[in-house]
Amino acid sequence: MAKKLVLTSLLLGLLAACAAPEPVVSTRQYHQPLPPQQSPQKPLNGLQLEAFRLMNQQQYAQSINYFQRAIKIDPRSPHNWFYLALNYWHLQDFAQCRAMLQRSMSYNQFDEDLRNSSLSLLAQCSP
Amino acid sequence: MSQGRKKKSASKRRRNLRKKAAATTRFANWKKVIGLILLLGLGLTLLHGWNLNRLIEQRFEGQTWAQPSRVYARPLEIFNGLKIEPQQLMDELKMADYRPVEQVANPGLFSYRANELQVFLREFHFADHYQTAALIRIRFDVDRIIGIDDLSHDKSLDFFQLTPVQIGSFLPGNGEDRLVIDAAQIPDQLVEMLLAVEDKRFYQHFGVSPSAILRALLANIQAGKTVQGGSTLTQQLAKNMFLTPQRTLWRKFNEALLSLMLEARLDKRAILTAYLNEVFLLQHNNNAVHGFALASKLLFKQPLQQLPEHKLALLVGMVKGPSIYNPLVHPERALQRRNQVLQIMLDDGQLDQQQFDDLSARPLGVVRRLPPVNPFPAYLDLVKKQLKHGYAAQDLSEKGLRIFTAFDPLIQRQLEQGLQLGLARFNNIDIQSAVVIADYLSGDLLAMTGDRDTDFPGFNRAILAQRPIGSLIKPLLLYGLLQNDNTLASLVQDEPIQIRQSNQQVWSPQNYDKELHGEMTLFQAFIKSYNLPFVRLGVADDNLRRLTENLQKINLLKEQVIYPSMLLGATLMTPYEVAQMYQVIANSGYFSPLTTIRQVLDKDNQVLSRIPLHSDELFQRGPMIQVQRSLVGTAEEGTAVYLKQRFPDHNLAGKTGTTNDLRDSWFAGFGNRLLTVVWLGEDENRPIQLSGSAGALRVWADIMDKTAFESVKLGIDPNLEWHYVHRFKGGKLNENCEHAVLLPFAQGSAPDYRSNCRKIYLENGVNWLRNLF
Repeated sequence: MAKKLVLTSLLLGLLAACAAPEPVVSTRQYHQPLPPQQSPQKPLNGLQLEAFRLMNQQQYAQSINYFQRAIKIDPRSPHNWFYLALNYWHLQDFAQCRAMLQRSMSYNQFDEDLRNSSLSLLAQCSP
Repeated sequence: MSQGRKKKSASKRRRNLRKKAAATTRFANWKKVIGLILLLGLGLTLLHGWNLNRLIEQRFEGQTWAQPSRVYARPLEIFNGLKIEPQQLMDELKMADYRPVEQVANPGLFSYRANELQVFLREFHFADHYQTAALIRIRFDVDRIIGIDDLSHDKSLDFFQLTPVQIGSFLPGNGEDRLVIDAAQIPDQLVEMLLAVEDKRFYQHFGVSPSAILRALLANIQAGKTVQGGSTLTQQLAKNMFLTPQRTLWRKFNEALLSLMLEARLDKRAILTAYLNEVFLLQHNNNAVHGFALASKLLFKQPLQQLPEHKLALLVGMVKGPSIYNPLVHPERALQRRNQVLQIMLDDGQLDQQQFDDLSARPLGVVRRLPPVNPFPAYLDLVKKQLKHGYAAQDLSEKGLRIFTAFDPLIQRQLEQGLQLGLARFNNIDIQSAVVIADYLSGDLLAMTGDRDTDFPGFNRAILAQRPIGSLIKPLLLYGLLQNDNTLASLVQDEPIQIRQSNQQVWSPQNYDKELHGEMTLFQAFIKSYNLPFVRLGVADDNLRRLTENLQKINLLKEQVIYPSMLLGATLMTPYEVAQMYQVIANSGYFSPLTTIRQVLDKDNQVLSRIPLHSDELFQRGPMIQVQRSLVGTAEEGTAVYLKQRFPDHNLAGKTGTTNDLRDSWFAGFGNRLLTVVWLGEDENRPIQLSGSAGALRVWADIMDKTAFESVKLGIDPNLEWHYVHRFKGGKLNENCEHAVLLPFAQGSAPDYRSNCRKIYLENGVNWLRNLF
């Protein structure tokens, strides 16, 4: 239980950090597409707050619904995918946990803390 | 008295006695027979009564009516910052049966003025929460939402979900459609009107009203024809629920018997509720609309509870003759009948003269026409197909399930508009079409058409038409080549090749333009969709087997035998399957099955099933991003260069596909989130004389032009490095060199040589000089 609380606190701390502005991406001529850049992090919105509230109340299935709704709005946010994975970890659905973490990592280009947390959670989601 | 006479008299008495005795015996026998007959009759009547009673029991225990399942679109997520034009939001509201008004006073209404939209939400059970009726104010800054307030509860909101659009129903086999209401939902005024018109002594009689029958009989005799019915509401209910409409004495007898039994079993309120749910009121194409609630929704787009008196009067009047008084077919008759009902209310003292004058002067207030029964047949068809894996057909049509899908009505409308425009280009009504639009990041199937007439519920080509896909296979083939030590800068030869097949026939593939183009990079061969380099590479190094393995990963390998022409897309797929293949490509190798259904609830709003977001990393991200880059190249300067010309400010990705003799024209492409696949062809498989570029690509662009599409965002992989290389010679170059193209490479795999650079400005300068002369 204590382990879970520590992990959750750590991750909530990460979330606060992830609101930092992203590097400005320069524009280029149209016909030479840029190497991909991560979309700027959007501020926390109400859906995510509600999802966190439910996760803190251990209503993981409900929290999953809200994170999924948040993902539909911002599908390239690595944080939404990460917390979705965390909910699945709480529910001991490790296959879904791993799948969601993979997506989180695929969108995470800059956030080292989130990457480390993802790797740590990935180890716990492995059978 | 002489002895002789005495004897005679005695013998006469004996004879009489014998006669009497015989008569008594005969009478006794008759009595027995009659008694037996009566007993038998009573027994049969009891048996019949018991049988009827069982019918009532069966009907009222458990689920009284087969309730159709309702299918809903995705609920539109409204949140601060959402980019949506007010008109689009109003379109969505109208599709969800909200009505525009000046002043928003009731649920189901909305108004818009000065960048502010007010909508009175209806109460609604979503899969994960319950929305109470509430007045919401949405503020816009041009095409973006900048504020949401719940005026009913005096608080601001970050987000809420809009009532979803109902996109269809699965009806029971008898074709009856209804919205079942309970006793608490029945407006008092409706009961008063109905009883005043149909059964004044409802609360006094016990199911059958002898005085009403007598009164009707006299009236009918006087008129010489049937002008009045003596049936009570209970009798009408008994007839509608259990009997046929045949006019026979036996049916009348049963009707009376059933009515008595109904009255004995149910209280008056339950009988009234059953009647209001059961009565037939309207024909809606092939569907029979039963019950006041659904009739109200269809005719007035309003819930029954909100109907004003004159609209209730119309519905009550329609009970007498749903066809004769159909307000959409016979508005004058319907108006007359409605005013008759109001007159009865006036005569009964339930309306005063002023109210009567006011109400009877009002128009009918019905919709101009009923909504289409099944406006999105292709999508609903797939919903049903996907539901059949988990639900019995009978449950789908009778258990009142509520099915929430990913369907996006706004995108569907845009698809239909774009498709009509696109098909009009070709002036050939024999060209058929199918289109699939999906969100490739979530796997949500957003919109679909299966026929050029988008509302035609016939053969659904989007999921049933198996056609060769031509060059649409090349991205997956390219992926396999990149896995196998090739890079986008690898040099390939566009030269003839002959392949002896297993049946000993020789296959000599050709390019679409029947020309040879020499040496070039793999990237260049891909964007120009040259066949020969791909066949040459495909038949070497096990690449054909690799292609089939990759197809198998996403369940799209159908062939038992592998043959080389698969390299050029001889394999058959439906547009839906093509969309599935491109979903994986657009989503950098993450497979999400294209799904229509998100949640299924039972009629009591308990969740029966929930389809979670599914994501499976089936392909390597790095090579897949290289494929994405090549698809962008196709749209910029390859076979789909039309997109660059038409949408110069956008980066799009896609691939054309053409099959032998121009029989099938394909285009599969994507932007930021939307993946769209277009197929054109003939059902008879005759040539349509359109390549992928000349046909499906144009229609694709027409559809995209209607949507708010955004530029493609390539996947992210830190293990990729990007270099400018020469598109023909494959060596590294500087950005400003002629034929320089920026391509991704797996780390350490970029070319280790440089090609000669010819500066673009020199070339431009030469051209400028040439133009001077």
